[in-house]
Amino acid sequence: MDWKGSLRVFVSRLASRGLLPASLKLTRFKALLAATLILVAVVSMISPVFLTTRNFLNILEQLSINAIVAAGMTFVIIAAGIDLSVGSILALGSMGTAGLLVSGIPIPAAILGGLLVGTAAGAVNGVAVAYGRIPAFIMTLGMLNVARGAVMFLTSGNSIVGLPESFLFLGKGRVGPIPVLVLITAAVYLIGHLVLVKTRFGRYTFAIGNDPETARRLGVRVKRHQFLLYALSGGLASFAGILLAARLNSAFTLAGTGAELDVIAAVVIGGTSLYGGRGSMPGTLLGVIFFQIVRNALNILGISVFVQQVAVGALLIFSALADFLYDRWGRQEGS
Amino acid sequence: MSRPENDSGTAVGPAGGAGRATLLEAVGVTKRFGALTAVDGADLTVGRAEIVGLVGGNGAGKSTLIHLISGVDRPDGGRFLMEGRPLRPGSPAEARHHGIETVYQDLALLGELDVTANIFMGREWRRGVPGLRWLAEKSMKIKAEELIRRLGYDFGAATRVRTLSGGQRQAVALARALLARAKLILMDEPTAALGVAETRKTLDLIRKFRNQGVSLIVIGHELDDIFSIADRIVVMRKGATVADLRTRFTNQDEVVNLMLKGPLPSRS
Repeated sequence: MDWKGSLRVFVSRLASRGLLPASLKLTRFKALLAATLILVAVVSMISPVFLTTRNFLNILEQLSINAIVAAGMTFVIIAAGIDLSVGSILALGSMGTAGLLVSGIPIPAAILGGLLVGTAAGAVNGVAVAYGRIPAFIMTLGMLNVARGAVMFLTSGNSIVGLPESFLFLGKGRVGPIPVLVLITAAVYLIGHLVLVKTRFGRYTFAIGNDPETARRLGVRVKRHQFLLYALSGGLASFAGILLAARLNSAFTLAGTGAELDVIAAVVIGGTSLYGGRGSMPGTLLGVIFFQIVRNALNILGISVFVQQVAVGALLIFSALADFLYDRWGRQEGS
Repeated sequence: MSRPENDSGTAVGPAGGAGRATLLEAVGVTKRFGALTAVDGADLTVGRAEIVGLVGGNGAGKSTLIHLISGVDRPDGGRFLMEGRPLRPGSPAEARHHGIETVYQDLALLGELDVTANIFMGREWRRGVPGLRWLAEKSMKIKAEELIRRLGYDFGAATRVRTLSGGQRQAVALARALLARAKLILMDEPTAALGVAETRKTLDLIRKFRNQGVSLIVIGHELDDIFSIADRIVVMRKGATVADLRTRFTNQDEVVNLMLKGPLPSRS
């Protein structure tokens, strides 16, 4: 037996006798937290502007949009699904609300309209995946093109600018020193976390990701649940798009392009398993923060955006590999 | 295909005698998978507080019949009466609602979830008001641990099921039936994955359920085990129920014969 295995057994025996706090066990969350802190330490030594309150609020504000999309994606991936269409649905929601606003619709109704469009697009994904048995990968890849194409067609590729001042508060406002965007993101994560761990909806999400057929035999309405998850993901993606429009005072056709990669990378590096049945909202939030710090650090160090793209892609592959190894290790541990 | 209910003879009258009230009655149940008729006009009766052993060779249709009763598969023909009331076929929720619990061969466990979540899956206890309900985790955990103790086991309800032993896993599956106050428990090969000691423990548990008034249908390969627990033995062959025997008045040779060749002409 290898020494790592013996050590693991030894540590777990100590923990089971209460001689070690259970929290000493290495989790992916803690590994990511350590990596984030090391990254922060290294970059602050290189650059004095990095470790400032202003830069940090800036980072949080920048990650808010992706974070909200990632919240919905976490639910979908825990249920062993995938949603590649979030970037396009983001643009759909963004454009929908902006279009309604410039045509004089009141702000709450315009926001509701954008949310409805995005949720409807997500619901179409949900129907096709849950009831039509089209693989989620294919269905949402199709929707990625359909939604983006629809946005382009309906706007003839033009941006919508000049949104009402009070609407912009959502994206640019501050409560004291804290950006409204950050507060909204915090609320989304708090609610998302509670739903995931404290409600039946959350529990069924894990159950379906673990084994949909078994969940069905035990009385879980699997198809209905999957449908709801894709609708939720679409709804949150369009919400992020609406906030993006408020932040930029414009809606543009290419908004959210490639967001699916960033978002999935953050969710997976945050410890949510692509094999389903495992994951958490705090993990995803930390994953989003991690990626934003990487981008911010590369910016501060003056490294090209092309290299950033390479870095994010490589980190996604790396975290998927970690997920695979963890999954295998986890199963061995269980037997 | 022959309809076994017509070639009367071996089939001892349903309800297995002994004056038991009938709990479940399945009549003429048929299930096809494409060209294959997996269950072909099967009849099955279970009395109250009775253990029925369901035996047959591989592919005889035992598991499919169980799946039809539990609602996991939808039958192509036949009907089910539970306590005299018709059972809507093809709905696991409906079967559970009528007090039918299934302990599947794979035990239907969710390895990534803990013991409590597995026991309560599909019937979680919740608090709150309509529209805003959350899981009553503490009460469920206490109840789960009580159920496990009642089954003669001792392990934490917060344990991930993935890390449990074969007997412990079965206890989790049985705890569901206990929680539901099941009237009828369907068990598909309950001892297939167990060692000697755990097998004995499981057989004892099955008797204990029966003694508390629960009925069970138990599928088994090990005839020794089936003979040691069953009040009646129903033999299936090629999708049909070919014999319905009281355990006391039969023996393993007769059952094996029926499994292989169908009803003996001499007995008609």
